[in-house]
Amino acid sequence: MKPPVFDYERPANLRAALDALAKHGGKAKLLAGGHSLIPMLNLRLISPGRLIDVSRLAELQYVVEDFGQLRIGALTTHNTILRSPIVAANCPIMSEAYPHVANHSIRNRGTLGGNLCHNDPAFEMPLAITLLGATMVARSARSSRTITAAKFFKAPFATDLAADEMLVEVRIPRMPPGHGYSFLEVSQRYGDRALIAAGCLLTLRYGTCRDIRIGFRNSVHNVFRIPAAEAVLEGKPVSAANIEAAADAAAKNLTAAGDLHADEAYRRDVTATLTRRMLRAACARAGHAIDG
Amino acid sequence: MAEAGKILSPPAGRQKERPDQRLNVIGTRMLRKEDPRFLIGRGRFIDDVSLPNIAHAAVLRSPHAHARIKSIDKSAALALPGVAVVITGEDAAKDTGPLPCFANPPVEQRCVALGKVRHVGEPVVLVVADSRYIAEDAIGLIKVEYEPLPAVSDMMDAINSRGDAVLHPERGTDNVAEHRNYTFGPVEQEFGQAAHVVKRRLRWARSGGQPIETAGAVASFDEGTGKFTIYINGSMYNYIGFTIAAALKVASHQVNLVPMDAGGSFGSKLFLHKVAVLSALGARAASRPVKYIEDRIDNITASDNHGSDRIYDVELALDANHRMTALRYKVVDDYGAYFQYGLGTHGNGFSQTVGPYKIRAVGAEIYAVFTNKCQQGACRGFGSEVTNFMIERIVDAAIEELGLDPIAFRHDNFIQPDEFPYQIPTGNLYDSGNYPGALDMALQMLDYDGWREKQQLARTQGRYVGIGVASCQEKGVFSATEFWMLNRVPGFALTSSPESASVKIDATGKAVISLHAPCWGNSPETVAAMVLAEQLTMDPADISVTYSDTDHGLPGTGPGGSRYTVMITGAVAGACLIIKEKLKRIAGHMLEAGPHDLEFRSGKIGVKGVSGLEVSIAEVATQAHFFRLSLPDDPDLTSGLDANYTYDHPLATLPKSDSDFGIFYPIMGHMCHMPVVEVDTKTGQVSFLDYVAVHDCGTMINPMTVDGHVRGGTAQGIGTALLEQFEYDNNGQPLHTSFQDYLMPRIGNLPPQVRIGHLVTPSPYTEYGVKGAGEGGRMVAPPALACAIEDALRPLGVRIDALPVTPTRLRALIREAEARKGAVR
Amino acid sequence: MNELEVNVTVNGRAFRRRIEPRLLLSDFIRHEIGLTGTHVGCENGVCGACTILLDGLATRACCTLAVQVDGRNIETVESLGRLNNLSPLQRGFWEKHGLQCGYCTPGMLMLMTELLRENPNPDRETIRMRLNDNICRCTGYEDIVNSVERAVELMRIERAVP
Repeated sequence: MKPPVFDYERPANLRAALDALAKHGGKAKLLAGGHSLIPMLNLRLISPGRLIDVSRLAELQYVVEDFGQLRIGALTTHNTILRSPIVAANCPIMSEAYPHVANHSIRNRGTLGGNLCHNDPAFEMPLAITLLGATMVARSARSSRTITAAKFFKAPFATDLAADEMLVEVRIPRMPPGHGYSFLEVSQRYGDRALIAAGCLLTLRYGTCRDIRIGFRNSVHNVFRIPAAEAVLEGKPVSAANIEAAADAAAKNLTAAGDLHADEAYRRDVTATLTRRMLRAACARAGHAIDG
Repeated sequence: MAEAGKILSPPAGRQKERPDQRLNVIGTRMLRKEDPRFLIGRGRFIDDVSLPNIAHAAVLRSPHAHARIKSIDKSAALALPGVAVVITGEDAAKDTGPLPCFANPPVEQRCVALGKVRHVGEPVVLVVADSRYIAEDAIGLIKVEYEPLPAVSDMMDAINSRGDAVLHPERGTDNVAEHRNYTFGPVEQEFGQAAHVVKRRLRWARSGGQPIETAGAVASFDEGTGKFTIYINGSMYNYIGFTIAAALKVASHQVNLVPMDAGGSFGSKLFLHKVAVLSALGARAASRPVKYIEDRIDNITASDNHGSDRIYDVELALDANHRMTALRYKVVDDYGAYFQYGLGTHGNGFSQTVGPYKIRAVGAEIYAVFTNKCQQGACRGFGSEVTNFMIERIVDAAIEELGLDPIAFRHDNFIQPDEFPYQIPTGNLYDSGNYPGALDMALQMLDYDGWREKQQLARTQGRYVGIGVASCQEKGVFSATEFWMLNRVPGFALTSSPESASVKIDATGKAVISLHAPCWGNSPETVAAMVLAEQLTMDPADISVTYSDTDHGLPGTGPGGSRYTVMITGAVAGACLIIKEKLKRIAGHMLEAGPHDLEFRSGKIGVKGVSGLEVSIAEVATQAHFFRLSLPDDPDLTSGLDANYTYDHPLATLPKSDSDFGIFYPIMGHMCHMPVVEVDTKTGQVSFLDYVAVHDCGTMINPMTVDGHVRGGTAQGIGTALLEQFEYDNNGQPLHTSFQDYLMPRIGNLPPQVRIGHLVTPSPYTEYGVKGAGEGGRMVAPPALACAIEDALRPLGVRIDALPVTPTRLRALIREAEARKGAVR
Repeated sequence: MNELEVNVTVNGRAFRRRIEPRLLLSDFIRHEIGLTGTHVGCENGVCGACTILLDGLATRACCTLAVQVDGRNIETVESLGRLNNLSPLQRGFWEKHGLQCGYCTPGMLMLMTELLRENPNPDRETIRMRLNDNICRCTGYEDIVNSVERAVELMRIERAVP
């Protein structure tokens, strides 16, 4: 299982990387951590004529907090983000999701940007940052734009990026203190591709649910938030009964299918279970444990 | 017909080293001799072999499950710089014959497919190039035209295949490779008289050993002598290696097979005929040494070593006292595209087909079918792990249906400790055992009653905790005779399955043991050195162990069937006997004492009861090597100090008929596993709360390495039970083609601790009473887990009849059970 | 053939080679540098047998291109110890039967080397969680955990003795 022939360049800075992308466009692939790309090359699933190695662009490796948001450079490695106290303090759902991302060794090299751009439907981070309402910053040699997460993740293994664009930064609004969050995953082995990954964020004001976000990944479809489930709780007091109703709504409205590892019924089933569990956990974190 | 029961005149056997003697080295947790080289990264694995001008091979794998090969255009591939040769099946057939097959009549398999492909992944073209990278580039340039044929993927469909769906039309008009009926004892009669009959349908899915290192070979061809040298990480080269020469159409002494360390095997490297022939054929054609190492896709799709793939319909007859009297089953086994070991994996099951129980009669109807999948080969247990699953599942079914206690039922049905040697209905013999003792030890170690209380409490909390019990046999040391009765017409009707050891002591008193079969990680060097150290009271540090190629090899059947430790022990002990005699003779001469007055003590040979009157082994060795004229004047006494010994099977007898196989697998170990699991009924995930494993492998040469096998085998058994499967779709396309999809246990899938208990019932037949221990964990963990999960879900009435119990399947069973309960209410 | 020059430090020694960009780091280490202690199991990033340290971080060599480590520092199993001078980690594995076939062992040793540098006193659960990265088919892992615990003990003894 050896890669096919390709050309390789390692631009010294972002400007050079964007110029290379402009020049080679659809015939080149960006190489960041490589732990999604190189296995695909080994399997000869793809044969890009050129790899542009951006893994050393230090200018895109940062986690900073400013003006109510977190900005994470696209080439920051997973373990850097996993260990970041800034992330833990401001969007702890990412810190909770992170141990499920691949494994420690892969996280040493894998980058957030690489992960998001690959958009494998089993990956956790696209879900986490969508729930967080993140914005992507994309640049090309000529321009720069921001893309909402909802628009960014177009389809499994596809994003909104043009061939000459590169994701350079992820901007995450800070979550308010005392917010509720939970990220849960079911897989056959810890660290494997998720059979179902589930996340939720909410704030509680005197027991009433505000700004709730409920979303899933199920390794087949490009699923994210389930508005029907969110509607059950938005603006309502949380209770065992409406958590149950939200779980049902999530299971019913999820776009799901079976694959080699789990059938559709399983996915819907477990979606309901994880919804119940994560909403309870999130409410407890927001200071309001649910009885019954 | 072989009558089940205690053998009143047991065979005498040839045991020389009694189990009950005082031992100094054997039985200790000596650190392994193999480890230092592996720890510093200096293992000698096949891909480490480098020869001048070496080339690298890759195969074009068939994308079709079943197709005729219409044409192959290799011109573009040949034109690629760095490509040496491109070999099609037709090219290969010019000077290479079919691969070895031990079924009779044989099923033809070629190292490169000839005329037609029969499974996805089968080699269609062999490319040899300057690097594996270039070889794979070349493969991309080869154009193969196929005419697809109907693919058969479902084993029940295979029974009724006709026409173009038949994989081997020369064998018959359907895809039934073999259909045999066996009757051991009064089966009909027992079922006729039975007070109760319990039935189950069971499904054991195909999985495989999948060691972390794949199979590979490096071959060179000496044009000056016409001789091949083939480095290989396989086994059985000093047993049936000549069949590789035959496939290469050269005389057997024109092939030297050289063993390498194997990075795991679990049966899959038992006999690597295909990779050996591919690399050799490439070397001959390219006039350069050729390295062919399977990559992981090659290994998953075309290893020739998938495990059993069976559907059982099994029935158990019980009398009015709840004693099991007879077992009857029909099994369909999906062998894939070829049939290299025939029904061997069923014969293995016949060695212990009544488990540890006093069942008097067994009837078996076996269908072996061809489908368009990778063929079966050897996978830890070699089919008898599936027999164990069948037996324990039907035992659990009887317990459940008759409302009995799982412990009491087993106690009531066990062969008792005073009934050995025990003959089972197939004619095989169980040498020794204490099954009630193993069960009681496990109960005590687990605190079974304590866990039953915790289970009750857990149930009130809505938690699903289950305790599994499985009592299973682990056969050890197969005799070649087990294969006789499996073919319609006896084919390779061998009776030998020996193991040799060559021991030499040099003039300075250091020892080198040569083994004639390889290292798979099962500690053969440690075992050999410990036995020699025990026998000669030598320091293990003064002993090194090496491995003979076929040029220098003596008969060696190698690891497999949990035989290696027993057989190496016998072989080394046998060689030691010869050397000790010579040492005593010379020492006696030096000390002016009779050999019978001498003993070995701490590396010296001295007069019994007279301390100080002794000579070191080194001193005697120097005499032996260099001072012939100082030795007794006896023409039979020659210079030197060495011995070869070939140890034959300690107890095997000729098969009598197909209802009496004779004694073919008598060294019988036993296990009792008790897992405690918790099932998350909402997600179908299973986690471990406790795990006790009691193993009886007779005398243990090294308890540390036995424990390692228990844990490793149990881990593989857990993988088989919960995670691992090779599935194919209706078109014969494999669905699990990489480690992304073929899921082997990680540490997180296993119990935090497997608590091991040892019960020792030495064998009366082997040296020191050793029994096999390599396969056991995998042979008992699957039924133990199935039982535990069923026990956990007893309030819901879920039955576990199929493996693996993946979360999606378990959740489906739970949903169905909940729906049934809802419907009933 | 498009070849590039790489300069890389392996186990403290500097190497310069001209290689194709597609050459995997695992193949580079094994065949260009000739250090065969790093093993290949899946070429898919799943089993971890090929784990080495890249600038001190556990990395799967089969998922890394050799050109990517130009100017970098690689440590392989050969850097840990020699026959007559095994490291505490290697001695721990020997004493506690942390290997059987030895094929996954170099990857395990490098993974644990990183852990013990991060945390010289990990508890059992921490060791187990990190070991989840790599697959062993022989041992069932328990003896590997015991080996690492023994290594921690040996390192503590070594530090205590001046």
